[in-house]
Amino acid sequence: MKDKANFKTFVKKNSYYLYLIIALLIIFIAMAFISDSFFTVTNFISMMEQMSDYALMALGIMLCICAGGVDLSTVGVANMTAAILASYLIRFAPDDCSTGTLIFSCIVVVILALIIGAASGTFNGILIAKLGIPPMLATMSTNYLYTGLCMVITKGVSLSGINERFVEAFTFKIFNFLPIGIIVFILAAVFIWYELKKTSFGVKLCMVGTNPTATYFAGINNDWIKIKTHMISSTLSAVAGVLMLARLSSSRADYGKAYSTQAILICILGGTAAVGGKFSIPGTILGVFIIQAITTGISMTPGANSYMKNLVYAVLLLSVMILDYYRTNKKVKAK
Amino acid sequence: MNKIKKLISYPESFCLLITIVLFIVIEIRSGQFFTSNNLTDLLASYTVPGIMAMGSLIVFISGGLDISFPALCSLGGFITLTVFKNFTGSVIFPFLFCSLVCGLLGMFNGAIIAKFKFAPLIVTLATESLFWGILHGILRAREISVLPPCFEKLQDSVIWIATNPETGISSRLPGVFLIFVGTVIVASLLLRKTVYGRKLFAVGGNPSAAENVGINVFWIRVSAYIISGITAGIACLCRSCIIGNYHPNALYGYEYNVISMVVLGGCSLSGGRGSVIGTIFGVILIQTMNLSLTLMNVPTYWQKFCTGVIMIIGISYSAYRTMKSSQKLSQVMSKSDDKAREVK
Repeated sequence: MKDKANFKTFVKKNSYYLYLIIALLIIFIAMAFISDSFFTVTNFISMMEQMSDYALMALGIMLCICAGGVDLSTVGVANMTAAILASYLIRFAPDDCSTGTLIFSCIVVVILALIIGAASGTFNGILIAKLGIPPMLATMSTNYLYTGLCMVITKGVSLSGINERFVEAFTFKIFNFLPIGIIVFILAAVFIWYELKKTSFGVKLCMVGTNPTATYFAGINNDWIKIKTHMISSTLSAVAGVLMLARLSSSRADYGKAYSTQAILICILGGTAAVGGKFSIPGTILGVFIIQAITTGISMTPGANSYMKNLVYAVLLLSVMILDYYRTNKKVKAK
Repeated sequence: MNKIKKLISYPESFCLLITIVLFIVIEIRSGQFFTSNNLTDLLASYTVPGIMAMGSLIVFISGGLDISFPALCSLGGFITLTVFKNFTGSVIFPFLFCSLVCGLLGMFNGAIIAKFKFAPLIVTLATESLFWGILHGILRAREISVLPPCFEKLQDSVIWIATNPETGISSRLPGVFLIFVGTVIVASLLLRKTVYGRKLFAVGGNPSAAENVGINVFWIRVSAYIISGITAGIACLCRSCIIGNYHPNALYGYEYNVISMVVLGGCSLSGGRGSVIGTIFGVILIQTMNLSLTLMNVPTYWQKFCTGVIMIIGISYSAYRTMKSSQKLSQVMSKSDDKAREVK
């Protein structure tokens, strides 16, 4: 009897995730009928490679939405980081450099990415917390600014000619199966889980998202929490920029234009409440898988335009939000 | 003196000040700013963002947010231009049809946001994806290089032609500028002289108080999105008239431009505050900057960065002032509370 009760309560508590898993399974089954090259190892590897870019952005945006704001500047930060690092690599690590220079450059690249991410995140956070600009407008403006900066660095063209060994190193696949991007994403997810569940920062973050006035009067430093949130989010975007640079071995000002919309949709699909205060890491991960499956599925469906995926995302998101509204309202009504 | 102080304290005056400073800087840098053909070009370029900004202003005042209007108007414009492909009647009919289609799309936006009380940002992000998906995925929109015959008269109509005597370049102020003027007049009258306008401000400023007073908050919100859709559709057709063709991706990413124009003009994103004249100053400021960077010999790839810096400075100052004034207000109110307690 006790076991039954545990299983039932487990299902009820996590019913939202089960819906997402069911949706994912339906998509996989549909793919099995549509295309026979979906369930190949090559396809899964390429899906995992593409996934890691906007998955990192989605983790960062999840934090910002939980804090009551939003981060629309993830793509700008990623492109700007890629442009800066590309110009560094082209100048300091040309194709014929020694292994020592290369290893040093790789380390510098990672550290630079973290610094650029933290700096842009702090700028975002200061605009939002200290100057009182609404988060949507502030991050939209900084997105414009960072994209503009990226254009200044790349002079409008695509920066290519990155050191091949660097590209190989950063697109390395462990056991020839798992790309480094996925490892980075898993590590980032674990890091975010630890920050949110096991430190006081995470508790304060949810409180700030739920009721900023109450936290202000409770003595919590709202400004610092918001700045730190945006710092983490932009750092994750900068790391995503490094992965994009390695995967595409070039840098352009307009790569990944649709990624920020996709990332926000992933967060909301995964169960992060749009008003703030709630977050869900397993939901975001499931959302990433679903979106990637849809993207690959649509590109494999014969006769389907790649813009169809926008349609599918929108319909999926709106229907999930509306269904969830009626589901939670039913609970309230039943009480 | 007090009147002048009060005038300066408005956020719209700050925008006007920056605009005047910008004009002077451009004139000093290039010497070509106050020529008749440059001013005519600028006026012609205010048409499309100006009409869109009026619609966005109304949505922002009612407390909502609409990011999907470029996608919405591209879709509505494409449907209109395809349906009226060989139409030779009056030009009023495609405009009415476009308003109807875009109004319905706007109602779709507004109904979801107002009924389920979702965050407008998320819903309009989703509907933007939806509209782009329908436009490119289902309708497979292509460029329409020749407009239907009914638009000929409107395309050729001109208010004045200005010729620069030195360079011999002449620019024309197209007739659709009058549509912009008309939209401004209608928006201004709507917001200041009608009960509907007061209701918009009420719903944006304090929705629960508005509900208690008896205003139908649901329909006010939905109607704001309908108006935003209609203005966006009209702007898209005007753009096609000015440029002479229709391209589905022309307005991609245009929402940031228009939103920053409205915000710089003193409108608050949380609703309840805003004015038509401020929005016009915002349009003038940002559109002038967009067009004049080439005049000042700024290379193309620096232009986005420069525009972004100036926009951030303007938005920061505007938001900082709002924050300071609300802090002052809460200080004043708490002081009066203390005084009231002392008396008791």
